[in-house]
Amino acid sequence: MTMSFTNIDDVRRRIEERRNRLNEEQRRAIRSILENPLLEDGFLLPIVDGPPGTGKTTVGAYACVHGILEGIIRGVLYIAPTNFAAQQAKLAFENLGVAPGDVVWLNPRAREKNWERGIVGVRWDLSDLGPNDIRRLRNIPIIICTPYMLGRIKRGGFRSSNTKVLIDEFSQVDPAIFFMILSKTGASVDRYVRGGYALLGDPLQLPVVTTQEELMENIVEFIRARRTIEGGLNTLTLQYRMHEEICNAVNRMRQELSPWHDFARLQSSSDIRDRDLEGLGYRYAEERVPQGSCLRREELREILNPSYTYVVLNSDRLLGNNREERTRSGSLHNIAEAEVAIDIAVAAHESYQAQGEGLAPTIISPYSAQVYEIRERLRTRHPSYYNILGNRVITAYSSQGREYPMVILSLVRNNPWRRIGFLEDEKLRAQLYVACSRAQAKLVVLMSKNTFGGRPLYEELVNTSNSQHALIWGWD
Amino acid sequence: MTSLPYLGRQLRQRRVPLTRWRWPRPEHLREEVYRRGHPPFNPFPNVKDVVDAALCPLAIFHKFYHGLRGAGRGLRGDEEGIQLGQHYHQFISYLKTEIVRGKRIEDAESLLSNYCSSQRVDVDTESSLRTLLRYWLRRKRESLEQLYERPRIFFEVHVASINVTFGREVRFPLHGVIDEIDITNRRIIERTLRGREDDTEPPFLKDFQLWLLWKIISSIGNGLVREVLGCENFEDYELIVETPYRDFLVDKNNPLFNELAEDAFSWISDLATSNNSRLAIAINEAWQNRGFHGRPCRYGEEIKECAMINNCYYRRRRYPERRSAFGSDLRRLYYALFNEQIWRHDLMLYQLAYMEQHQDTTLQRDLRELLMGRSIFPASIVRSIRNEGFIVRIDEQFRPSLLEVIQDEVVNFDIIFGSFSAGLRRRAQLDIDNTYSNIREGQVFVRIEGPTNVEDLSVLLIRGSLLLREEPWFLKRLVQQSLFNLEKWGVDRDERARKHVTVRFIDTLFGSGQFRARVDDYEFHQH
Repeated sequence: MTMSFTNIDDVRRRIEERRNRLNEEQRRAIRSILENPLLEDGFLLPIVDGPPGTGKTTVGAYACVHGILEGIIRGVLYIAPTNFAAQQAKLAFENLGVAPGDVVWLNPRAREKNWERGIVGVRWDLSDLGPNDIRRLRNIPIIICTPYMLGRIKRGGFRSSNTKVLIDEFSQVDPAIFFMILSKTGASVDRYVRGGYALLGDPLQLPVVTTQEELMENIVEFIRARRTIEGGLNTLTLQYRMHEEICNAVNRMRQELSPWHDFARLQSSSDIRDRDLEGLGYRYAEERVPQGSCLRREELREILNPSYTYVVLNSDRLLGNNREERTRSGSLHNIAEAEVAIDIAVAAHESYQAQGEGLAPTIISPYSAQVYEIRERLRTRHPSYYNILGNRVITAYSSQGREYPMVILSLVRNNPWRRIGFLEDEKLRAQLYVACSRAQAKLVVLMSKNTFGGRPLYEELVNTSNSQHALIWGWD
Repeated sequence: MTSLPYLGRQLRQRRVPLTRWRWPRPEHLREEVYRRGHPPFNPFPNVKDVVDAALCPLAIFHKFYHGLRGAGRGLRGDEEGIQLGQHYHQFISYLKTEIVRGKRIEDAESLLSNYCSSQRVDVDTESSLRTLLRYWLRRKRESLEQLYERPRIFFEVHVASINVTFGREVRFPLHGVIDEIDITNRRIIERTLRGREDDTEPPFLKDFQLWLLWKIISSIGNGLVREVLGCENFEDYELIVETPYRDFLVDKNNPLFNELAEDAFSWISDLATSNNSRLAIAINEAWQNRGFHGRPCRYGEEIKECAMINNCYYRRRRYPERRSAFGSDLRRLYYALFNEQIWRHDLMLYQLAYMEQHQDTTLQRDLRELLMGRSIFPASIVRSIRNEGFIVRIDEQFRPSLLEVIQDEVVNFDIIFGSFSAGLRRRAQLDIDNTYSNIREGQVFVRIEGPTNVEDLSVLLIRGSLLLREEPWFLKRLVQQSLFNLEKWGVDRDERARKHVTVRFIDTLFGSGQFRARVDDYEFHQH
């Protein structure tokens, strides 16, 4: 039986439409993904290095759907390191017209079985699946899951041999996890994956948090430490997310973070290069900017001015308690930064409107205690905004893979000893890169000059060369 | 009467006993040192680790580095067998609890049906359970009738100690779960499915396992035990290994137990060493000493009670050809995954045990200060909802921390009734959306698996779950198992190897040939 989509005509049409919008880098990456992995004199493991906003998940999804439509592959196993990333991948497939029921997110929550929405929970021993369910899963064209679900997929024989395995967010895939994937999908004499594997991700993004150096290395670093990859990676450099000013800051960080010499500079697509919040459809009304509890109205107006898409605030200059404090949970918060983040978010919500709805900025922090502090302050002091902004306060880790019109980043650390903890860890400092690259049209960074100043990565944040779109506040 | 099958025979070459255990230093316990690299302390073993190490040094090697559990066979020796054992334990405790609550013994079979349907037990397992239950009921009727008098019985009691000794002054850490403590009749029971009707001795090493558990509970400070179990002296308790067919009384003074335990702890320490070259020597010695004392293990003459046969002896396939280079890289990963488990899991066990048992009260206080609100959350029971769980109230000062911890993700918890050192440890699911829950007021409905009769005990919620199979430290074991499977796997036929994606990947990555990540000269529209 040939595996295909229930709405094959729709999918074919959407794929054709999308084909014309692919750039040359994306096309080459798609070609690589669909190629036979066994070369005459070697092996092809397609690796797509997709920095933020370059559409790597779309590239992966397009390749899979195209491959199934053309009969090149029979099915797809899409492996994402987290359940959130799995959901994002599912959306990418649905955006290509695939019916929700044709792309199943397999998860361990056995009570959850919604075949129409394509969300299916399965027990470890498959004891909750009937014979019809098993057949159904074998005939689903695309299955998405985390690596720890692969035992269930193997047990049920849910993928045929002509399956393509895509592994997303490879920065979070250490060699141990990669070889586990290989073991669960390839270590069989008969029922093994002949379609081969492909890796998608950005090597500069966040790794798994671990105590072991061997597990901090991602699989691409592991491979590059052993072999030269002939011809290089499939690097996507045209980004479709960030305003040029934000993209410049991200490029400076990429250069600082890159452990390899082949650092690729991100280019902004012409559609979004100058796209600020007004370009996204928000109308700015300066007169609606309210007085903040920590910042004055004039200060807020300057920060929210649409011409500044990139703002860095020196939190040393903030009034009140601007030092970090450790909470009982072991995490850190900074009350002054929390207040300022709320001031800016509330003012942005009031002053930027699109179709009668206020902008809901996203507040990101590397510290869970700061996330909690901001949420609690919103709940107790600004209850009317809590419902709108409360779930827009997240940690840097949970922000990976998402994009938002406006981001406010609170770095929290502010102490006389200039300690910044894991934010100077060679790998974990990528939290800054990830958080900043979530912003589409406006980025506000709260950072203490006394604490972070002089460190190369953080200095790059203020190295804006007097750009007209950047405001560096209180840094002199 | 207890006896070990190797009495009178020559013992496996004994390890030199340890003169001291490698304990974590106070700065590790206080988390003043960044967790990185080799943990400079030994693991906090559980009773099954010690039994495995006593059975064969390779069993504990496979457990540490390849994530393979349970060298001692279950009834079927596979996952289904392990499941059957778990259901058997749970059902017996459920049955006894229900009889104490007033159900009749004659209802046992219908209770089994209820249990099986609520736990979604498959037909084969239910049938096996029913057969085993009949054997068990046949000889337990009298003792079950005593349950109407409401004896004080606790099931699945977790015990942990940092003061276990084996005839010398050297202290060891150890923890484990006692299947049943019958305070009224002063006995400790280890229940197992292993054994046959005509056995005259307890199943292999089960008496040793029970003796270790008794050693733990006897070494815990009296106050900690009294608070939970209402008694404090376990010296004269009977130790009983209970199979479905017979009960065996264990001789607590068997001198071989001390020797087995010391030997096992030496292997555990040697195989967990942080020195790579010494570890290589220890692993080599484990291979040379494989087998039980006086019963060396060879291919074709394996120890029949050991489930590791397929992991020690397997056929080496011809391909991948670069297996040795691949294997040496995998070894680094096995070690890293093991170290990760010790930092994440075993250090936490040490912290909890020191917090309750260490003689330095300043360290105890510091640990309490560090862990409360971060990893553990003290609570009290408001009331129990029968067969479902409890409403618990979190101490006021720790409510913000709990909210902070659970704000973004579903965090798993264990719930301990009593203390970490001696308490009833259950898998807990915090049902925050339940109508009984009001998280801001510190009230949470907690669903519990397993029997409970604990209304008068204090409660500790422990973040990160020490028991759960799904937690990150446990997932590392699953990764280890997969890597080991991949290392053992291969193919023999040339043609198959040439076309096999996995073989070709490994041989290209660790050998010769072009490794590519992209194609350039390919016509996309050909597709």
